Amino acid sequence: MRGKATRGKGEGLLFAVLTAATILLWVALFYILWTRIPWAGVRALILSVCGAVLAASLLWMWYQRRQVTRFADDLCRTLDELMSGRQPEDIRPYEDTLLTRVQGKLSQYFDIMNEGKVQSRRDKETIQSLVSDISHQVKTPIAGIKMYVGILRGHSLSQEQKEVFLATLEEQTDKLDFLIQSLVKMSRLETGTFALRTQDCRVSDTVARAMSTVWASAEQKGIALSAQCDSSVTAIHDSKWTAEALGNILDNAVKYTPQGGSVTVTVRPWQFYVRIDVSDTGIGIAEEHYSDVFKRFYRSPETAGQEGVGLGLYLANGIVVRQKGYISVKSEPGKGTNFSVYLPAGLGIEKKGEAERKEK
Amino acid sequence: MNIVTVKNLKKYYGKGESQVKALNGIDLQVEKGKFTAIIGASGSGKTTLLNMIGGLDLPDEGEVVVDGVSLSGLKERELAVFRRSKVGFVYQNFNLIPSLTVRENIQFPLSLAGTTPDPVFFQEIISFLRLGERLEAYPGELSGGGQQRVAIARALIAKPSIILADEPTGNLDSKSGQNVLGLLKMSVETYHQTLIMITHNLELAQMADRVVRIEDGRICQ
Amino acid sequence: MFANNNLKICMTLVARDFRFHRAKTRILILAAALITGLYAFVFLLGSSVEGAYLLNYQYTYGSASHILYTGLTERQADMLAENVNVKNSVRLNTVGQLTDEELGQRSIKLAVTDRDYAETVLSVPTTGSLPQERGEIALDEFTMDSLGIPRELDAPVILQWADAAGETHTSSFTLCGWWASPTNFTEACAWITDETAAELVPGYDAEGAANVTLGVILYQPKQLDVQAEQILAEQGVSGISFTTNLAYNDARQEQAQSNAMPYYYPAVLVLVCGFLMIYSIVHVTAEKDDTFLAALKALGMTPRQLRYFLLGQGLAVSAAGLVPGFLLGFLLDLLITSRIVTGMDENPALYFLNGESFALAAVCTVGTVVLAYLIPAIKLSRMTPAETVKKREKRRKMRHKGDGKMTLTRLALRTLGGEWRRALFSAGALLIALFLLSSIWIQYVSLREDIYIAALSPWDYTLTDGSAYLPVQQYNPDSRGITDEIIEDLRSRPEVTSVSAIKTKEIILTASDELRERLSDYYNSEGEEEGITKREEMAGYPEWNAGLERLEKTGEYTAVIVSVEGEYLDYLVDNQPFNDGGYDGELFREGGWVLTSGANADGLSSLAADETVEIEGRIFSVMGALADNGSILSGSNSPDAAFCLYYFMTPEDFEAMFPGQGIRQAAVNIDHSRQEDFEDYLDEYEQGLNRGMRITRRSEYQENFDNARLNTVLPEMIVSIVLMAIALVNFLNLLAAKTLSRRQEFAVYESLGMTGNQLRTLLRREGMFYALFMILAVGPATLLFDIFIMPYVVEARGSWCMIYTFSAVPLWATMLIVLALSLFVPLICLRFVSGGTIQERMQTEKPQ
Repeated sequence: MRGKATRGKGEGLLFAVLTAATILLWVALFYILWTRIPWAGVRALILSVCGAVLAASLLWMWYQRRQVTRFADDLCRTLDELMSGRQPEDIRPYEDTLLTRVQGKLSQYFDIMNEGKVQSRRDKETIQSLVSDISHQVKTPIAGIKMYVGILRGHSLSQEQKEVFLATLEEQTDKLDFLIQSLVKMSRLETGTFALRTQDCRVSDTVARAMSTVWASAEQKGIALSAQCDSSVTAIHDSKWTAEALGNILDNAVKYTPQGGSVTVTVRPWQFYVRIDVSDTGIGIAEEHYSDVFKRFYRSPETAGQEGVGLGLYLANGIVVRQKGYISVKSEPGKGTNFSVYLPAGLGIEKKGEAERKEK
Repeated sequence: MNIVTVKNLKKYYGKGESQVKALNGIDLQVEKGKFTAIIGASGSGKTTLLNMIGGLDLPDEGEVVVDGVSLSGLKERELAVFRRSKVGFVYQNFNLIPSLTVRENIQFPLSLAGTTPDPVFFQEIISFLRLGERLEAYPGELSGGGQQRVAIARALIAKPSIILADEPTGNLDSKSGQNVLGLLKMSVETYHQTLIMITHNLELAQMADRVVRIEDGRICQ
Repeated sequence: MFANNNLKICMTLVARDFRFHRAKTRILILAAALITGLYAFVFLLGSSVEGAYLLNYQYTYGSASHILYTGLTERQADMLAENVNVKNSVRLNTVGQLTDEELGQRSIKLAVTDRDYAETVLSVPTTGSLPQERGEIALDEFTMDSLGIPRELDAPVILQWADAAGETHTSSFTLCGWWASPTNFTEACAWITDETAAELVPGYDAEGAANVTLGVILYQPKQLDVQAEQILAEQGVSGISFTTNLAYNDARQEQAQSNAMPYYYPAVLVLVCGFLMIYSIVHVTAEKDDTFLAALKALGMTPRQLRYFLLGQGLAVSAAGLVPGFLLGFLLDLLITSRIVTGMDENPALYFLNGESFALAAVCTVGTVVLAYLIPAIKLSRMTPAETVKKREKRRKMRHKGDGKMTLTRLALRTLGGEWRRALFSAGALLIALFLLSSIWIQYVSLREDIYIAALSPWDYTLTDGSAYLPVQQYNPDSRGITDEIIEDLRSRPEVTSVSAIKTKEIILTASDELRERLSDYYNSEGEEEGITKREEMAGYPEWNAGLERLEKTGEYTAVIVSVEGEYLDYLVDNQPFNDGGYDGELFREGGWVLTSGANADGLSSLAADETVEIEGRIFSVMGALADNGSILSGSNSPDAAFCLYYFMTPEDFEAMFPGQGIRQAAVNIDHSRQEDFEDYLDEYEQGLNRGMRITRRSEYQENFDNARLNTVLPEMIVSIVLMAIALVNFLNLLAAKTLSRRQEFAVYESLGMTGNQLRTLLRREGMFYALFMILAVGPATLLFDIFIMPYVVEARGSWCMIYTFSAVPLWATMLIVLALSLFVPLICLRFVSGGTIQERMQTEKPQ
């Protein structure tokens, strides 16, 4: 309030000074004309020229003023329309004027805000579908467990039979556990509630961690597991989650590679990305399904025999994308598949060291 | 929500017997925020279609509607404003202005609009595309990939709704091509933009949400 | 609504482009500078000529003042000087007027020294100084020559003069300085100190003495007659006479303008050709520019911004060219104007230097250049960027037939094939320049010295007495500027082939009744116009009329006896028609014969052949009567002889009757091969003289001719030479651009295994083809123009000393330059584009 008042006062003062100055200047002009210029004609001429200049500048001021008013009016109308959620009508959006510049920015802002709304609605829908997916996936094992628990409770069974049923029961609970864990990860991923802590760290560590999860099953199937990775390569990523993603891809590779096959991990440092190739000699993926494999609960017809829920690649993709990386697939059915994971490149171990030293 | 709607688009070059139907009735809707790849043999009309969407060329028949505005109703002056505010172009041959520095090249669409970039956003793009050290260099002093990154930064700086890329990796080796495409895809996702890209490369096209194939001026499903 | 303020980027682009395309920018600036130079030169020359005409009027008027009031008292002069319209004034106190008879029509005021006034009438001594002491006097050279005063400081001067009351006095002074005033000879001042004046006319500066001349300069000279009256009325002064300056006369100003107009015409030439040339230079790189502009449009540059960008480029180029252009224009002006505007002490180029011409030149240049830049913008703004690029691709896809085998020659031919349109444009510019230059050159060589000199100077040298140099000067027989000794000296020179002298003597004769009646009838008969007698035609010459009346009444008339010999005699009898009788050389030389003449018209207006006349007691027979009125004589006769009859006789007869007369004039012929020796001798001789003798030299005629010949064509020649320079720069630019823009192409050739030698051979062949193309495009056309069109042009000029002369020197010179440029420019440019590795060069363009 006070600030406004002083400003008002200041403006008033300025106005008074300007008016006084104008009057003074005119008086001075008249004085000079009447004392210095002896010809009446010349006096009249100079006076009328000064008058015309004054009139022209007043006209100009009026024109400017009208422009500003119009500008404000148009802006307010646009704002009104945006507030009520309507698209602004009756404007030519690509005129090269200041108004359209501001209007353009406003509608861009409006779009972004709208985008947020749409996003949250989409999130809600996602959660809903997630819940229905979960309930659907969980239904079968739970029904199984229920059935086995009923059998175990209702019938007197021999110890041997009990052992069998209990083993099956355990298998079902394990499956349920795996499913639940996957679902939890997935739901966190979808709703963005988990935090990825990305930092510039060694890729080789992450690859090693991922490989350790499939080491056993690969050995079991007699699949040669190998990795080529320079330990100096670094990428900006969350090692734990990335290992999880890579693990899922590796898991898939091992799963769909017949006995005696091989799975190779190759790390190539590029300028902007570190490319991690996971190639196998498995059954491959048809070209039309390239982008399907990353969909939730997608399972290709060829893999029906294998156990799995179709969440591994979906999760892997989600994790990588959230770290500003991406995954691409290239495959020849029957010969093998190559998944390439691109992670934003780090400075490299030497440079990183240098940078740290510099900081110190 | 469709940001681009193309209705029965036709474009002919030449006259009489030697007439070439560059576009022969194209209908296309592009959803907002999606990555659409356009593939097809050379001479199939891909570039012509992209030029029409970007307001670089005018159709002989049909209509292009971008973000609710029909381009055929715009004057040349308005088309220019449309180009610099609504779309960002990334060309195969980069089309950088050799006499301006990297920084000036990036800011060029904004300079044309008479504004300056939001410094935070500018910094973000620069660090994202790793151009920080070369800002005062001239395009001629950069490698092909470097120039294309400048071109991408330029396409992004005005925060346009649509990025149009005409074989952005065509003049680059496959490694730089992957690099550039990754950046493009990332930036589009980060800034909620719509990307329409022409490419020959199926491996790159598979990263798109949707692939449109054009043959002899028509979309073939 | 507020337009978006987004034009700054255009200026940035202009600035960057300006520095980036250095080679192109330099060539454009050069062209702009040349054009500015031409404009500045043409305008400066035009305004100088106009100014010179006005100055000439001013000289004729005799003063730089706008109005001269005469016969004022001091008080009146003060009052007039105070008028508000008067910027400043100078005044002169006149003591009297010189009345020596020899001064003829000139009026010379004896006046008190006033340096300011002297400056306005250009009468400040160049030798010696204005008088400072009693008895000193400063005069102009003409007055001195007329009075026969030697050019020596402290020489005694005896003058007759009349004071305001009309009383005649004779006073003696000492010469303290003199000045040459070639223009204001009709009026002049003889300066004395106020001390001397007071001595001569006591009380000359008294309050009431009306002897002040006031020269005023106004703030705004418009209609001077009206303004002069107005000032008189405003200050309440009446009965005062005044004269106004001719230079401010409307009719005179118009006349000056129309006289100077031909000097402004080349500006149109510069406009048209300059535009074409800048346009073609801008467009040598049009293809690349189109692509660049299409890219700018694709990035969202509005047509307004595009126009602004192009405008900015045009302005930048012209602005950068302005200063060197002004300098060039000024230099040309300095060199040329002093040749065209002659007769000034100051250098006319500096004297008439004005800002308006430069400003006008700047405006014209900017107009020309900006026009050349903006025309493509109109074309471009109608095209979408995609269309522009498409058009360029189409242009590239030129079909070539052949067996697929590629030799260097074929490759070179193909380059020309792809660029022939632009080459043709360049050839067009060259052709225009060549037509202009050839036309001017042929006009120049068609002006023939021999015709000119034969017509203007029948003999090689003319010596005249200092008192008879100009027609308005009255010959003073006592001046004796040329003596018999001088003639003897000349005759003894080895170079001299003949010397002829003229002496004259005025005497009073009495006409016989027959002659009296004949002349009376003759002059009372009808003249050239119906109803007007010959006598009435001469009404404007009162002295002549008085002479005729005297003849009619008393029979007395003035006879001018002329001694003629050699060249003069030959000229007289060969060139002047006889009204009666004829000429027999041998008989005439025997003596006792005269040739006579009265009026310069048909019909006998003198004695007839075989009649006799008694001169100084001797009887002479008339051999023939010529239609001549003494045209071979220099200077004028005394006023008494305004009406006279001439008697031409041999020197022997003349000498016998009038011994010891001075020589009025002499004609000298020499051996032309030894002209230089003779002129050296003359120069030396002339310097040794302290008396008035003026020599008109053969070399002066030659020089006059050379000057006149050069001046006739000079402005156009300069313009066409500079235009030719621009056309060649244009061609050079074409060659340079052709090479510089193909950096990538050459890299590709080299990557395919072309050696450096082969590349240079390729460029040399290309150069040969370009040269051949240009020569074929301009050579035959120019030759046809020279042979078939030029004779008509020469005829149309209609100069009497012009004969069409074929010369193709400009063509040959241009061809040579074109050939040299074609061969060397590409090779030099190659050095700029062959640096760096092939890989590097195959990439984006770098600053040149």
